[in-house]
Formats: sequence, structure tokens, C-alpha cells
Amino acid sequence: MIEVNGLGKTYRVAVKAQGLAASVRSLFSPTYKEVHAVTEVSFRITPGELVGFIGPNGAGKTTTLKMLSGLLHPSRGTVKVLGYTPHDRNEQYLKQISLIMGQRNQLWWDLPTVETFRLNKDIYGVDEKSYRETVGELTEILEVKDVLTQPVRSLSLGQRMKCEFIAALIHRPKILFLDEPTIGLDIFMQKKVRQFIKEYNAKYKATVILTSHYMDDVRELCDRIIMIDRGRLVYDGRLADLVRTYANHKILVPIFNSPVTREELAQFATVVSFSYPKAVLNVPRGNASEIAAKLLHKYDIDDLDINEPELADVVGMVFAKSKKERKP
Amino acid sequence: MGDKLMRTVKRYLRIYLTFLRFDFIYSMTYRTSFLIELGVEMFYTVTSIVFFNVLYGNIKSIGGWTYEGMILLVGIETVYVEFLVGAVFAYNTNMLPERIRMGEVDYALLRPLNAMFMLTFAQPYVPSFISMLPGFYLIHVALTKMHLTVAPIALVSGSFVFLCGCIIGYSIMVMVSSLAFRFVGMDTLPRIGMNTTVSFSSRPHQMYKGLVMKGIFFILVPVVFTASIPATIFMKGFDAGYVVLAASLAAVFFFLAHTVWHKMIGEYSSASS
Repeated sequence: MIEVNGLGKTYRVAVKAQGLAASVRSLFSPTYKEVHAVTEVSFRITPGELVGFIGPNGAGKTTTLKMLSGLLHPSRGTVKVLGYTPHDRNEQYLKQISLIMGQRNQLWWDLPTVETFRLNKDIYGVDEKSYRETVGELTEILEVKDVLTQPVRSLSLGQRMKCEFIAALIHRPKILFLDEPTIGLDIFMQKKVRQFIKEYNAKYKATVILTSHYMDDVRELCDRIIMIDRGRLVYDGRLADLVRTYANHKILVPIFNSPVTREELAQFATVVSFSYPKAVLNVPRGNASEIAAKLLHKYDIDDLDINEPELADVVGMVFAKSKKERKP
Repeated sequence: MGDKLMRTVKRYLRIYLTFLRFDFIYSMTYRTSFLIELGVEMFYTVTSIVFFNVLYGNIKSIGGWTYEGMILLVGIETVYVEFLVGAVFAYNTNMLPERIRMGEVDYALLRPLNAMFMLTFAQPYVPSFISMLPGFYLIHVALTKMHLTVAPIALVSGSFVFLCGCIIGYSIMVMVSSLAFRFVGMDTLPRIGMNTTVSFSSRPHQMYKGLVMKGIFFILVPVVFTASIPATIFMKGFDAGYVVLAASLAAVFFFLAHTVWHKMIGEYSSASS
């Protein structure tokens, strides 16, 4: 369904030095530098997958999504989505995809939301029956029935984002590119949007590629993640495997019933934090059960959790490793 | 094939009517701004009539054009300019460089529609359309004063040449504005395109003498087909040469606009989100 081979995008950017004299100089002899937004990325995504596309700021996530959707022409490599070359912008291709950008707005600002929905119905050639069904269903799930006749500018950010989703899904796309769809939303709204993405993916078997800086989005939605850094792929695989591969430790969280000191705990593991009666300990993955047993044997413990490390920490480790490897 | 074309035309027409309706709702929402804009548009028309009244107060004709003939020319030119400003320039090509710079054309480019249509017609400007009315009134006044009944063939061919003139003007504007995809930040491009197409449109084509001037205004920037030649056809009757030349130039210019647009869109770099 999606095949990306050696994809790259390079921009030529004007270099402007500071100050008036430099500005005048650059008028007559401009200098440019090449910025490799995406260096080389290859992957395949099968129908119905929900893939998290993550990386630090400037990693090339959005640029890659824009090339997949057809907005940008790649500088090198090939992309095939649903058998089409996206940047040809074939009408049949564009009718089967949708791109939602959390920081951009496709709704007509001064008009009631429903006007954009109806316009999209005409643009995508959706028949009246399907339109009514889709809008009815989506407004119900996202709980925005009451705001459809309000001008977009009067909606809250959360309401607007939900309506952006509906506008983008009126034609029931087979592929959904989501670029930070939960950005700026409060945690309740984030949860609602995540739930909706999950349901849409399950119900319509739509392929979803999601970029997000919120690890909760990735953890709750994606089985598979693709990580890129500085335009290069650094990981492509299952989320569970990522944690197992890169995190060589686990987190023990004992709640003590008997007195204990930080120094005593340090003999067992690295103490991340301690505030009696609760401690957070970092232990080697292979010794987690053994250390837990020792703690239980030596101390009166009310409760003991053995957790995987935070996804954000693991992701941080992967990027740190990638950065280290890049250095000569 | 014919059926498919008709369906496509109907679909685009329906979408354009929606755009018009949107702008009308928008104009009604911001009534004061709408009335001021309408007043400004009307002011432009009145000033050009006053100018010709002053000019023809002293002389009978300029280059063979009588006062009534000039009023006809100004009437057609008013319709042409207001149509181009309202349909294409004001909120579309004029805003294109800024939208490109801010990455605001992303959604338009992802629609399963012709991108040139989406970005040059999506936001009409209603006050300009209303300002076309004085133009039609001037045409009516001029024809009445000349006691001229336009023959049907002259009416049809003159209107056709006018339409070709609009296509030529539109194409020039699109070609120049689309360079903004390549040269990001050049906000003056649309104005250059607009000025090229309207600055010379109110002048009688007889004033362009010699091979160079004719080459420029009949071939390179053929704005004579926007008002002067349609007015001449209305007054003097059908002229096959002008009709064929106008149709050919309109086809060539539209093809060039389409080609340049698609070439330039390939250079689009969007903007950081």
C-alpha cells in the first residue's frame, strides 16, 4: 500500500547574515546552503496499519508526510501510495487520502462549520446519503452536533480539532496522514481524539500514519513505530520490541511498611527517587525479578510494581544512541 | 467523453457557486467593510468617467474615437477589470505569495480538484462583481447615445473576443503570480501581473503603431483584446481576423499559464508547521 525507497528531500535555503551591510551584500551576491530535511528513508506500510512516525523537532517527519501525501516533490528516491506517485496529484489518489495538520486549519474561519463540510462533500463528489451518514456518525462520536452551525472562529481549540477531523473524513479516506493531531489539546480532549482515531482505524480498516510528540498518542495507538532523526531512519519495528531492545533496565516501585534509607536501597539498585514510603529504582532488566525478591525478603513491603521504563525515556535513548553513532 | 466533461463542468460550477455564496456570507458578516470596499470600487469608476468628460470637453475625438466610443471602451474595460479583480486578483492571486510563504496552500493542493482553479478562484470578492454594474450601464449609455443597434453577429463575436481577452488577462496573472512558488517572498508578483493586464486595457488599439508596439500589445501582452477590440467590433461589426487571433492567443496563453503553473507548483516547499 505504501512503499518508500530511498526517499529524500533537500531544500536550498538562502543564508542571510546579520546586519544591514550583510543584507545589502546578499542582494548582489546571495549565498545558499543545502538543507537535507530528509536524507534517506525507506519503509513499507501494509493496509490497515496504524503507524507512529516519531522523531525530534526537525527530524523530517512532517516533510516525509508531505511527500507521502503529494504536497512536496521528493528530491530523490521513490514513493508509491495505493499504486500512485503522490506528487502527480492524481485526482483518484487525492480522493482516497487525507492529511490533518494539528497546526493548520482547513475550516473556513468566518463560516459555520457545516459549510466547510458541505463544500468538501462537493469537492470529493460524495453523495448526499453517504454525506449524511458520515457526518451524522462522526458528529455523534465526537460530540460536536451542537456546534455545527457556529462560525469556526467561535469554537474552542478542541471543538475545532474535532471538526477538522470530520471535514477531513467526509470522503472516508483509505489513508490518513495525521501530523500532530493532538497538539495543544488538554488531556481529556487528547484522549477523546485518540479514541476516535483508534475507532476509525478499526472500523474502516484505514491506514493511519501519525506523527506526535506526545508519547501517550504513540503508546495508546500504535503497534508499530518508525523513528527518524536528521532525515534518517533509526528504528522501524514494533513498539514492544523497541522497549526490549533499547531499554536495558526496568523500574521497580516499592512502597515500604518498615523504615528504610536511601543508602540501603542504593546497595540494590540505582535510586531514581526516594520519598518514604515510596521509592523508584532503576534495575538491570535481567536482574529485576531477583532484586524484587531480595527487597521483599529483607523489608516489609506494602506494594511493589515492576514497570517498563517510560516510552519517552526509551525514545530519548534511541535518539541519543543515533546521535553518538553519527559523531566521527 | 462529452458526458464526463459535462459532469466535470457542472461539478466545478457548483463548487464555484459555493465559493461565491461563502464570500457573500462573509461580506454580509462584515457589512461596514463591505460597504466601504463597494464605495472605493465605485469611486474608481466615477473618476475615470470624470476624466473622459474633462478630456472630451475640449476635443471632439482622439485617434478616431468619439466621446461615446470612449465611454463604450471605458464601460467594457470597467467590466473586464472588476471581473478580473473580483474573480481572480483580490483574494486569490494577490494573496498567493503570502499564502505560499505561510504554507497556507497545503490543503488547497491536496484537494481532488485542479489546483489552479482552487488557488485562483476559491475566494471571490463580491464588491468588485457589484462594481461591474456601472460598466454595463456605461455600455448601455454609449450605445444609446450612438443610436447604435449592435448586430447579433457583432454582439456574439465582440463578447467572444472579450471572453478571450479575459482568458488572456487571467493567464498572464496566473503565470506571473505562480512564480511565487519558486521565488518565495516576492509579494509584488501578483501586482505586476495585474498591472500588466489592466494598465493598458483602457487604451484604443489604434494608438499602438509600428511593428514593435503592435508586437507587444497584439501578441506579447495582447491586452487590446480586453476592451478596445470588443468595442470596435460592437461599433463596426464582425471582424474574422480579430476573432481568430483572439481565440488563438487565448488558447496559447491559457496553455502557457497551465504549463508554468504546474512547473512552479513542483517547486513548492510548503512551510514549517
